[in-house]
This record gives sequence, C-alpha cells and structure tokens, in this order.
Amino acid sequence: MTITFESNDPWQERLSEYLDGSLAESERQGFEDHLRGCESCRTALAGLRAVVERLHADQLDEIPDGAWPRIAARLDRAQIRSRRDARERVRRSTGALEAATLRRITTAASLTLTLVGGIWVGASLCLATSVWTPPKWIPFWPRGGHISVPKQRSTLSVPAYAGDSVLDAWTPLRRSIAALDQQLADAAFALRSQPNDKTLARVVVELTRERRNLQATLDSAVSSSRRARPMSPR
Amino acid sequence: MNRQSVPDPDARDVARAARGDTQAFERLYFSHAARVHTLARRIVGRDLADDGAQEVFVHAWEQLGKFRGEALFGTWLHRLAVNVLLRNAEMARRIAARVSPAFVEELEARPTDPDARMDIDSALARLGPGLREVVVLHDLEGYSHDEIGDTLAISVSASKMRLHRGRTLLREWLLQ
Repeated sequence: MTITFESNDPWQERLSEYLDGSLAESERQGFEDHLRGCESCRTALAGLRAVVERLHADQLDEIPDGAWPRIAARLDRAQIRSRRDARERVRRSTGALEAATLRRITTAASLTLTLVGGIWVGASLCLATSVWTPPKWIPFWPRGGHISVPKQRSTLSVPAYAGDSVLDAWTPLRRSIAALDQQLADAAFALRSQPNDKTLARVVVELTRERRNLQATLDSAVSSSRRARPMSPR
Repeated sequence: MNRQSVPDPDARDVARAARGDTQAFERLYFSHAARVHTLARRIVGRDLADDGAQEVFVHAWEQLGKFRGEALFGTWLHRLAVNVLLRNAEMARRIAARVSPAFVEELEARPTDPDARMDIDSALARLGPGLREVVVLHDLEGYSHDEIGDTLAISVSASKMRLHRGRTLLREWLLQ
C-alpha cells in the first residue's frame, strides 16, 4: 500500500504520539510551540482526534440469534479432540521417563499379567468341568460329596465395537474424519473471504466428498462388526 | 490492578465448564459473546464475524483446561480471541494468496468510491490487515504499543507508525 502525506512537516508524523500523550516532555513543549503557528497541524490534529472519538463511540454488537446452538453442536467434537490431545500429552510425557524406570514398570506389568493369566486359565479349566471333585490333599474336605458347577458358556470373543468415546478399531478412521472436519472448517472460512474463488470451492467440494466416503466406510465397518459380534452370556 | 483483590465473577462456571458442563459454558458464552463478536467484526469484518466468534468459543472450550486463573476469565478469553481471529484472518489471506497472489494486493488497496462517506466497518476493512489490526487493538481494544508488538510480532516503532498511518487514512475517509 502506498500512502502519501500532504505535508513535509516532520511534526505531521508525530501527531498521533502527541494525541496519545506519548511524546517526551521536551518534545511535547516543542510541538505545542509549533502548533500555535501551524494551521495545517492544528487541522490535522483535530481530524485525528475526531477519528479516535468516533472509534471510541463504536458500540458493542448484539449477540447474533442462533449462534449458540451452532457452537454447542461443535463442542462435543471439540471435547473428543481435546481428550485425544490429552492422551497424546501423556504418551509424550511417558517418553521422558528414564529407561530404568520403564524397565521396572514393564517387568512388574509382565509378572502381574502372568499371574493373572495363570489364575484365569486355572479358573477356566475348573469352570469348564461340570463336576468338580476335591483333591485328596485337602484333608478336611467332606469325602463322598461333589460340587456341581454350571458349565461356562463361550465368551472368549470380546466385542470389537465399544462406542465412540473409547479407543477401538475404528479410532484411526474417526481421527481422519475429525482431521478432515478441521480442514473443511478452515477451507470454508477462507472461502467466505473469497467466495468467487473456484479453486477454493473445488477444495471444499473434494474435502466434503472425501469426508462422506470415510464416514460411509466407518458406518459400514461398524455395522458389520455389530452383526458379527458373538452372543453375550445370559 | 491487583488480580488477587478482584474475584472472578466467572470462576464457578469456568470450573464447571472445564469439567465438561456445557450449560456452564453456555452461561459464559452469553456473558462474553457481545464483546467477542464485536472484536471479530472489527478484526475480520462484518461478513466473517459470526464464523470468527464461533471459532473463538470452540477454541476457548478446548483450551479451558489450560486456564489457571492468573487473569480474569474475560481477560484470558479476550486475549485468546485476538490470537484466534488474527490467525484465522492470516490463514484466509495465505490460502487466498496461494490461489491468487493478486488477492492480497487487492485487499491492501481496494478501490472504492472516493465520494462515498464510509462507516467505521467499511473504513476499517479498507485499511487492509496491517494497519487495521493495529488501529483496532490500540484505539478500540485498548492495547499498548508494547502489547501490540508482542501480539503481532512487530516493533513498537512499527506499531506507532502503523497506528498513525491508519488514523490518517481513516480521517480522510470518515471525515471528508
């Protein structure tokens, strides 16, 4: 932008500083001496003062109708993204732990898993047996009696679909959709300032199409997963 | 002003909203929406003000966990709003400039009817982003030149120069 000023008077460049009271005391006195004999500076100063007063008179806007529901509709998505970021921060902070600490944690976790796994396998074998006979090394068990245990139903398959708010097999797809949403919002924002731009419009169309495809893939995959899910125990 | 001596009227709602209470956040929205929307209109223009304000509140919702109460919530929100709006305006310009390099020049020196007497919104829009942001932050939002320098990553002298140029142009457009 080229800006030309009508006067070569160096004080013309300092008018705003004088108006804002930011000239040094000696400069202020010098300028006020100059001002008494300079009609051009007096006029320019009055004009700037009027501009500032007019800007200060600018009123606050009314809150636009219907704005809150649009914002509220975006908050859930934003919260999910925020939680994802929090998980990422935890993951990064874990990386800062010392290697020895990590080894200790890993070893402890392995031992715990082995122990729990052993108990689980043992319990499964016992439960899979319809009738359990007490071993002879238990001395005070009443002999001649048996304990009937209902046979366990097969529930080894864990449901693959566990809802939107937890990590599951479809999390990467959801993240891609969320990323696309962000890009779409950005592109749409840019398009508002350049509504006649065909390239930007094409970008928005392509992103929208890509988002629709991903959503369809997700819906189809989740639906298949639900159909294939084994029956839960009654 | 000593922050410790001023209780934050929004403190309870901020705490609830940070735990995911959207009703508390709605109350915060209606307390501050007018100011944020006005700021958006001044920085990105009337056409984009609704979208800009919406972006600000969605960002605020995401960032609430980082609010530590070191300033009043209104002050924190205003600072966040300035950053979000400036970033969005800059992003829109960059995308547009990639598509059409002449677009930024057009923004900087948009031809207008010299006889038309303008309102403040039109005059600010005509200023172009470099001058408009300084004028808005200084004369409308009360920022010092130091704060403007930090926010826009420019020197204090550059901020003073832009302010004076902006006011000079506004004087020509608004008062003639």
